[in-house]
Amino acid sequence: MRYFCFLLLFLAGCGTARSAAPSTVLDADGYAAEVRSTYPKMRWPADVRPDLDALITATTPPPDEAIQPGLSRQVLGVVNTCAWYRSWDAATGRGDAEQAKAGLRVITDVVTQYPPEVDRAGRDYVRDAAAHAADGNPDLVRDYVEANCFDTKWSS
Amino acid sequence: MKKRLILLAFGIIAALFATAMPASASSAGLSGSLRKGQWVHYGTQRTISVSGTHIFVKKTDGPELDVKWRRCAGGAEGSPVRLQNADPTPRIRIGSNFRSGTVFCLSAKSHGNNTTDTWNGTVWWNVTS
Repeated sequence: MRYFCFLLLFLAGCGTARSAAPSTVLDADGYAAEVRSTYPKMRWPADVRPDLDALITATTPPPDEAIQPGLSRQVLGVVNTCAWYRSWDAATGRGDAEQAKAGLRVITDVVTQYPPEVDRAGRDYVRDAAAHAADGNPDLVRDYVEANCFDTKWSS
Repeated sequence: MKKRLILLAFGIIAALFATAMPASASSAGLSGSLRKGQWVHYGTQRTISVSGTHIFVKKTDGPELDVKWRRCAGGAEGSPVRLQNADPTPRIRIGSNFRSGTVFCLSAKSHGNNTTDTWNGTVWWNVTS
């Protein structure tokens, strides 16, 4: 239930066709707080979770730069996608059918909801990745992880 | 003869159209806040789904500014590209040869007179030429 609430929150922040001009911006501390408060609202695979401190360090701009509120949702959405893709790929590789099936369910039902409506190419990509994964083809899943999370530090 | 000329004209128009706007290209309107001399990092993600393609940006309203792409999950960003004050600006390439699956966000920095400002424009991605 908590996870579906987060999904609604995520979608609410992504639903406009244009990027609305924010009235306020966050500094580095505000961004870190936003990441820390958003992270536990998301569901993560038991075997692949990001090192949160390292993620904040890697994605926080220099102190004299400003951040649009809601950026943390995009960052965590991408990293969460990578985590589920990695988890599914690893489970498939070691022949763990049960975990692979559970991962595929999230990849298909949840991860496909992350890209905002304005990012139609992104929506098509994650849907194609889920369809390929269902057929046992990991190519798009691996491309996504390599393109976005090749240097992400994982805590487990 | 006349029919052949008409078909030829249609063929040329179709070829020009295909070259100018590949079927895979994506685009979206932009509207963002700005701060004078300070980067603002926007949170709307967009995904490259065609390997080797480029990102272009055009400003239709707003002050002189720098714009750059960055990987939303961190770790990589492009060099700043200047968009002049006069609107609309040309469509300018801000990044090239992306890997399929890359999720990018945009950042902008104002060089106008106002402390805070806004700008509007268009971003194209998955562009092959």
